[in-house]
Amino acid sequence: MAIELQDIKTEEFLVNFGPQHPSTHGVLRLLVKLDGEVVNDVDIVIGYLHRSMERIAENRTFTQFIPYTDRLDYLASMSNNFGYVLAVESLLGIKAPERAEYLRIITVELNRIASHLFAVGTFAQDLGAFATPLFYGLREREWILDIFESICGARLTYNYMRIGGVSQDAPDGFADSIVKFLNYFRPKLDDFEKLVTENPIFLIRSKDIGILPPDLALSYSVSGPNLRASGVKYDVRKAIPYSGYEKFDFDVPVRERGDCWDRYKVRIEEMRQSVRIIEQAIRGLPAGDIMAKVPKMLKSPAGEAYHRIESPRGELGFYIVSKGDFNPYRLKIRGPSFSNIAVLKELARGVKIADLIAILGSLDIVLGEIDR
Amino acid sequence: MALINKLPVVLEKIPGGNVLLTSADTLLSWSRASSLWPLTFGLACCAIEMIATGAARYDIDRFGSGVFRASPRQCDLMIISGTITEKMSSRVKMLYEQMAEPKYVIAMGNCAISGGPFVYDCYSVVRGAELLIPVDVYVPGCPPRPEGLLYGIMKLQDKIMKESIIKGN
Amino acid sequence: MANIIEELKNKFSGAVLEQDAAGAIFVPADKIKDIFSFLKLSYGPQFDYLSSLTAVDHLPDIIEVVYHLYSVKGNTTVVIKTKLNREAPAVASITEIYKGADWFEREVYDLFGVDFTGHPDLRRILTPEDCEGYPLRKDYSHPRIMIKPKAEVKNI
Repeated sequence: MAIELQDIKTEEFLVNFGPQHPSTHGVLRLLVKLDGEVVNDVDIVIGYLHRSMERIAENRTFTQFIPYTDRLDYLASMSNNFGYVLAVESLLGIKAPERAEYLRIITVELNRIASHLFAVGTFAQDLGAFATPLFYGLREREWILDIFESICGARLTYNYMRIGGVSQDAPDGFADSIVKFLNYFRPKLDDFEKLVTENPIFLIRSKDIGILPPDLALSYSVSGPNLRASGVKYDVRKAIPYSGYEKFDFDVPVRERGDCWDRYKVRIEEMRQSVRIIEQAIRGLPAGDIMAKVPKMLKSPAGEAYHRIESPRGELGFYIVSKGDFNPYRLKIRGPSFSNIAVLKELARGVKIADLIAILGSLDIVLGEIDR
Repeated sequence: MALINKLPVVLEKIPGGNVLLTSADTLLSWSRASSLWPLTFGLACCAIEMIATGAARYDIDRFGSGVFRASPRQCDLMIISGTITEKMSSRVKMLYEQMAEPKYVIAMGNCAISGGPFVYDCYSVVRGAELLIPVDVYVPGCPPRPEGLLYGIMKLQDKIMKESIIKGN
Repeated sequence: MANIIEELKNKFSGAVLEQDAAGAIFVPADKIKDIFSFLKLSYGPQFDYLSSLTAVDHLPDIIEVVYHLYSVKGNTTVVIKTKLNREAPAVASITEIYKGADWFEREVYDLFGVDFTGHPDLRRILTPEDCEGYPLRKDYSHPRIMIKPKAEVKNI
């Protein structure tokens, strides 16, 4: 007897994308309800990297906590340092000198390029381009890590910024090495685009997949390139400028559709804009002190401060409450990936399971700042 | 492996058989050490340095370990890179038990060795991977440089070369 | 930000609203949902972006829940706070108004024990399911916590 297609009964089953999985970008667990190959629902379980940073902050002085901020979003440690140090400075009423501001912007924008290279490389790897785009991206990133090593001695967790300035001055030949890197990087980025952006397989796997409407994105507090790919022009560097960003001339790339390809393209364009900012900053680097006059043991007045910056993943905020002591009374870290990944539940309904991996890769999350 | 178990008994009786035995030892240990396949087990920041070790500049493939497998049943080296929290500790044990013998563990980074910067005032971190599973090589650093991880793999290769099938590994 | 509190006082005349030195607006816990609906939908520059939702534990008897709202079109921020009783802290959930508040509220429940009434799925998010107690409260203690020996603060 021939079996007709409509006679076959299917049942929903639960698949566990465990905490250890090559494409979950860290220790993330997804419980996926599948009907055949179509996702009906996804439950996101986090907390496998919860290292209680907020409780540790209550028992450390303000300066002692700076190395812990490196380990939050470990792909963009300079941005985390920057956000925390700016929040403490606005609480204490300190302003960093101009040379320190320029050095901070140069290192943060270099870190943005390094983080986006990693993000687009792993996104392409998730879609099946097994190692080539990732190795291209990591090759350029190694140049940036060499520059960081020359200025602060570390490759990944920099601990570079201090309250009131930066800890080390630029070494001899710093400007030359940055100009050499930028001249090397521009054609390499075009090479990368030639390999990936208009590739037919890449287009089929990422165009019209995971479309995020702008009002849903705002309602879920999504920020960063994910929000700008959906058409909302919100970049904290332009909206609430901090630390001298208003002096530099750069565009904020915005795209209309909000699918995975747009999120990838926004990151590529942001790398080009970061190159522009670094060029202007290194040309205009002023001489002077790198550290304001601050006491060695910082005691803050009672009060609170909330400061936000634009990290490569979105809006990173630090909320500090102090009762007039050497330690913060409460420190809340608002990590952008925490809100970015919550929207996956909406985007995953009704897609095939391979597209679920593509959407997760295009959201570019780091578990360190989700779990803190 | 039944032949391997009977081999020492047989070879010891033949005159000159001990030479053959040590050669078999060396051959087996050398083949195990030169093709350690790691598990993709990146937990936190050290995972990024592990990926950088696998990338083009600090190529880990020249040590035979370039094939990172996702399933624990297909690999023999577990590089614990990152902080182990209480919620994750049962999974670490489960993955270790799924690996087939002979299996080796490298604890990469200060968090995997002893808890790292999260020793004090922290309620959710397991202070060291050795509280859960036996560790062979410790690679210190926060995070260790890729050259450090490569040195750790070379030390593990030296340790494997000293193993022998007679004494029961 | 001065006119926000004036408009709120006009709209919700029955409620007691105060403003502290830093500009944060204290609202009573039972008016949270109405005030947030007003700020998102009816107020001039609509506050459509919830930047952060957190809590602060003030011993001995208050837990404060702090909301930071931002308006993308109007480029303004407002800070709203509400004081809750530490013995049984409970406030209405704003998940219907801002969908992003879902996970923020789960985190505050997990770490402080604040009950958000009307939340669709209030369970622990960061700590393991069998965790007892609320870790970020000031009186939380656990045998695993090792206290860092305090160095003397020398006058330098």
